[in-house]
Amino acid sequence: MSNEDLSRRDALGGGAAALLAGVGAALAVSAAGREAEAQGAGDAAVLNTLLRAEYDAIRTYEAASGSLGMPDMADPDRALGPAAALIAGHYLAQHRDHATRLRDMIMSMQGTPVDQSTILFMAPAGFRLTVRNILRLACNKEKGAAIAYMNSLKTLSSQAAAELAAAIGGVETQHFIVIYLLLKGAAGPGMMAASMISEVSPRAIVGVTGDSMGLAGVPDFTYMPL
Amino acid sequence: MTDSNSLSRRSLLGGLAVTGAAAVGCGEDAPTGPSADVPTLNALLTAEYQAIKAYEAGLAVLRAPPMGDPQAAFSAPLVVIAGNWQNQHRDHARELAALIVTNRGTAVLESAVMFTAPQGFTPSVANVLKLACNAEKAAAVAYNGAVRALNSTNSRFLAGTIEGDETQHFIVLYTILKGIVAPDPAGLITNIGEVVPRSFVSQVGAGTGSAPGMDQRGLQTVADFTYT
Repeated sequence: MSNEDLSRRDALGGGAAALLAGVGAALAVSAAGREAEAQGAGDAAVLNTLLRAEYDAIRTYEAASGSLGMPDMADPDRALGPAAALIAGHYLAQHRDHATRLRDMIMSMQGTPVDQSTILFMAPAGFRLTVRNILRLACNKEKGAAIAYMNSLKTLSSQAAAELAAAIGGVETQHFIVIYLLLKGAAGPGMMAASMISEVSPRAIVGVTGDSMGLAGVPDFTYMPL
Repeated sequence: MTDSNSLSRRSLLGGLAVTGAAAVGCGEDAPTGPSADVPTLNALLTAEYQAIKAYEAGLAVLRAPPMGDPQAAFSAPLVVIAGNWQNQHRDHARELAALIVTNRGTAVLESAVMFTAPQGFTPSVANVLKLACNAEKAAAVAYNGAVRALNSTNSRFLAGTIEGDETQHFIVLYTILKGIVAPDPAGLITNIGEVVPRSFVSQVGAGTGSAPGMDQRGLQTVADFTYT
């Protein structure tokens, strides 16, 4: 073999190696891109399930608002109605916030958020619109939502989606326990309930990176001497 | 094929086939060191041990409130609730330690963690409640941040299902301290175990156990209210 042949072979070998590396890299990028796309689609589907639950919560609180604000005269828990109406109104606003955040995240994943108009309020079988029944329904749904949000962490692949799910789930738990303790009779509305109703759940999220609206913005209590 | 170009192409193709075979045939080496989640999990575990010790210090005040403490009359049920919540933090610590070991890490020792009362804290029932509320809020925020930082879905799930317990602890104390919710003395005594009824939002492990410090159950086992 001549020196020229060797040089051509060297050139071909070097060029071929670069081609191989380039093809390999392109294949890797393509595979990674397909994997990311699949993960995004998977996360969007999980988030859409949570979004449906938020719309269901919104419909529930909307349906309840009239009955809580003006309970039937024969309702044995009529006196609890106004405080319950205030709490429900505040929780409704927070669920709307949750829905907005979930929609935005689904769209950022090139997903299509479920349409709110497709979610209707369906009262459970045998349900009567009394103050206590409404609170029971809300409590059951908040508990279910909290569990669903935390279980979603088992499958969500995106860190941002997982953070959002935890941030919202940690508020559903707050909604749950307040109503739960009212229904159990362990507690009732306090003196400040009417004037500080927004504090019954002071933030709509526990915390999201770059968002100042989480619990970190709630001031600490200060200690006072006796 | 005999010419040099043909040989080069065959070498390429052969090399590619060999490389491909090698890529398909050989799996990644099994990881041997701690997973990247271990430091974050250990930070959460440290926080749980601090919470356990903080509740121990708070219980000492609640069991024997200072003379003249205006909230002393409420200390008896608060002792029960604080003890229950301390056990829930023990459940959290147990699960975190187990996950750290699963991730080939070394769990921080409880004996290595100390609690120091914050500046300005003086013993009283109200201050114990405030301290607990501030700490539970901080824990909830920390857990949420950890969910984002953690890599494995198992780790994120555990962080989330514990976070939702800290948020319940927080809001119960917060709404009482703000005067939005008022304990009903008779109802509270009857339902004292229901003041945050589970250690986890969603069950962990097999979801078994109910003994204090050994509970894995989540809110799934809290019965729905029925309608009348």
